[in-house]
Amino acid sequence: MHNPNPFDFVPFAGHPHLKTPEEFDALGPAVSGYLEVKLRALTPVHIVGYQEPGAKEGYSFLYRQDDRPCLPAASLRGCLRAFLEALTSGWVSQATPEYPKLFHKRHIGFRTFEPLPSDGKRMSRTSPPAVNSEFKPSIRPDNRIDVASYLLGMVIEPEGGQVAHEALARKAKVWIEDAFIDQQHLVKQKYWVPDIKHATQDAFMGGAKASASNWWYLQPAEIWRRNVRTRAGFSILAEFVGEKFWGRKFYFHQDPQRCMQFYHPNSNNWRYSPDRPFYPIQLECLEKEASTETFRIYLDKIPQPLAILLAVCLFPGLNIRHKLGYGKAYGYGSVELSLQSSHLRYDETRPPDLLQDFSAKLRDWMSLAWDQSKLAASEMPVALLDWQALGHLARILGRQEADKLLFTYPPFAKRNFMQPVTFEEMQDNAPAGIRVNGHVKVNAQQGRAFAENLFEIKQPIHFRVYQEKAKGWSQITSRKP
Amino acid sequence: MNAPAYNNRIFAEGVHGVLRVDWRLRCVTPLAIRNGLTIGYDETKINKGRGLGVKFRWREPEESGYEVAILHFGYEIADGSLQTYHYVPASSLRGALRSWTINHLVRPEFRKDMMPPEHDDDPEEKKQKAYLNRMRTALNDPHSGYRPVASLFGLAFETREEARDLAHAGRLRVDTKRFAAAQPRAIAINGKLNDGAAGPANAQRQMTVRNPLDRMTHASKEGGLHHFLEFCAGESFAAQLTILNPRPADLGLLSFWVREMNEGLLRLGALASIGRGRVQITEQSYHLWQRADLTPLQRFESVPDTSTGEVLAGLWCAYRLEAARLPEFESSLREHV
Repeated sequence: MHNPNPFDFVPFAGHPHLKTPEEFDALGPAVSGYLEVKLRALTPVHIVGYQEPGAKEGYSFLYRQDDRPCLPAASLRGCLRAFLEALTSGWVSQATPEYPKLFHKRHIGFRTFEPLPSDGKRMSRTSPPAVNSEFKPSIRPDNRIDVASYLLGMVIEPEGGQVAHEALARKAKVWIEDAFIDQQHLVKQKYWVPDIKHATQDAFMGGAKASASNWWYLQPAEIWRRNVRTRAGFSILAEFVGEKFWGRKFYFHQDPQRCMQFYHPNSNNWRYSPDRPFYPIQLECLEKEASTETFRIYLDKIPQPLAILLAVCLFPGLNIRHKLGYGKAYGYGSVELSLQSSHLRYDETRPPDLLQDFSAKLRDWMSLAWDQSKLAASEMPVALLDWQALGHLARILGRQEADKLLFTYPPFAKRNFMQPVTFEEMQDNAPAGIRVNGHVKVNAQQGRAFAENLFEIKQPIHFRVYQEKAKGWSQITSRKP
Repeated sequence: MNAPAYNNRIFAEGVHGVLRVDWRLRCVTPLAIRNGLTIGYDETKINKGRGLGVKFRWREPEESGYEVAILHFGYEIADGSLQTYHYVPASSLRGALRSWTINHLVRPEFRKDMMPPEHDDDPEEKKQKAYLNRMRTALNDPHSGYRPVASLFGLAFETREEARDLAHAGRLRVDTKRFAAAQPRAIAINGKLNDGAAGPANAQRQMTVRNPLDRMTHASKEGGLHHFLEFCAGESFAAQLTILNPRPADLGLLSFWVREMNEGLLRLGALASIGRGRVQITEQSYHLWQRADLTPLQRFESVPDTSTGEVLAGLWCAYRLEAARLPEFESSLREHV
């Protein structure tokens, strides 16, 4: 039985949850001030400052600012925003706009939010958008925005001839400062991530990249018949064409030292070829169980119900923890925030009152994670949350039994990523009632059925099928927020 | 009884007092104040190396090279050559103070749409008339909070007719000095000082990177990687605020500004979202010169003229306020909102 893949997806809801800024403002009394927090490393944390190659291994040094090691605010913000967007069915604030067709590299082009027409030698086809275009950040006539943009700000890149305008930018209400690290908590030459080296090409260690030619990042849509030149001559292969992204990607928690043992050449779990030899990257990390120095998170006139939402996102209850930085696929970057002090006020009086200790109130807010009725009673707008997404986030970012589970990439080997599926094999394993002579469209159930039938030939065809058949999957699905 | 309409003739009795505020502001977090220009830099390609081999060229970027937004600077002729220096423009500090004041002193209904509309957008001047009505309403309401803002920062309008009963110059002037050259002066990248052409040498700067990740793939978003320059934490500069005909409420507002800056709620420059722009006022002094026939503001103590060396010395009486007493004026401000 194989290990589950190190990441999984939080599916998109039907539509983003949006409100106007005025509707958000009106949710409750405005809260301003700052929290003083520390970040504790549940597993070693590394954010790349710079890397240096070596003969047999590389070195990656922790990010520094003013010659002080630090976890930059931009990384902390990005982690918070990705979680918040998934939790509240928000816009996809960061997305590569297009994956163009590239000769010998990407057979099928597609765009994230728009259709992409293409004229091939034999057929014209328009790839549909990989994400519902409603999830693309935009300036709407009704002025509605998602929670993440209201709290964390937004800049919408002008398109075409559009000139950059203040309407395309919105100031953030949450300000996060850098988290500095005491030098004594850094460790070198203890933790590494696996990589591979090639004499002339940029080699890549890890799972497949996003492609419409498989069902790894994109959901099943069609199966094509494709002639491919191989060393043995021409082969007729099945191409599993996907169209919609499975969802927003998050990495599981695991023990990096167990994971590194798996990838080490001595373990014989992972094969490295002579022309792509094993090449570890030594990481300078914030050591496990060590904490950063205290840093601040500011709130600038945030309605109290959304301050509660912010609190449960920063301190997400008993089981969910965030991941940050480099090497997430190998278990690095599991983190936990702890509240050191709070200095807040209700910002309704003119001029404003002094900041006060809100710690008792903060702890009450934190305790609401993730009880829907208690959150509703606190007047946090529970309809803004995608509760199904929370369930998925709990599965992926839950820490239950993280030390016992091992998550590894499918190898580039037979029966795995290297394995082609011939068209004939695909036909022979077609689900009952489906005749495949040429290109065929498949729905979700049919795609799953094909993948299940072909599992003995090639395991990682269909992402969900692969995960569901992995070791420990029942423990993962039993995780609750 | 209706409150009196706003009187824009705030200098009808001339200038009879000058308050000079001297602050030293130290950057607690990095500070990003840009001027809209970019410079080029070269980066030596090292296989799987990141952030090494960067060399700045303090000139416009080349078409095929890298570029980064630079920080605000000025220039002067000194010792027969053109010298450049970094500084925080007064408009930047003034703008931050004004913005905070509007957002915290003015009633919410008067905080938006209080900027003149674009002419192109308003051929029949309907928006312009609506804007004037809003301004008049805000100014005629003594509890809107707008009067202290207008009085200090001034009011400007497009036409003489609009200006007639509303416009006036403000009583506040803001000046800033260049950075104090307190730290090593090259540009730091990932903690290493860079030896390229560093430009103005009176402030340490660092180049910081942002690399947004695609939400579906966690790969670097294509075209998202970008670098920017910022002044390092620890840099400091002096600022001077001058208020004509100062009132107790002005000092109350100064107290709020000091407190909010020190708490980090009133920030300078860009990128507050990633914690930039927090400053601390490490030194502050408050001097008042006032016509001899007038009673000085409460809590100010008389000081000998010769101690100040100022142009008003000998003409008007000089007074000084202990910085620790500044918060005592806050109640005066509350009476005006």
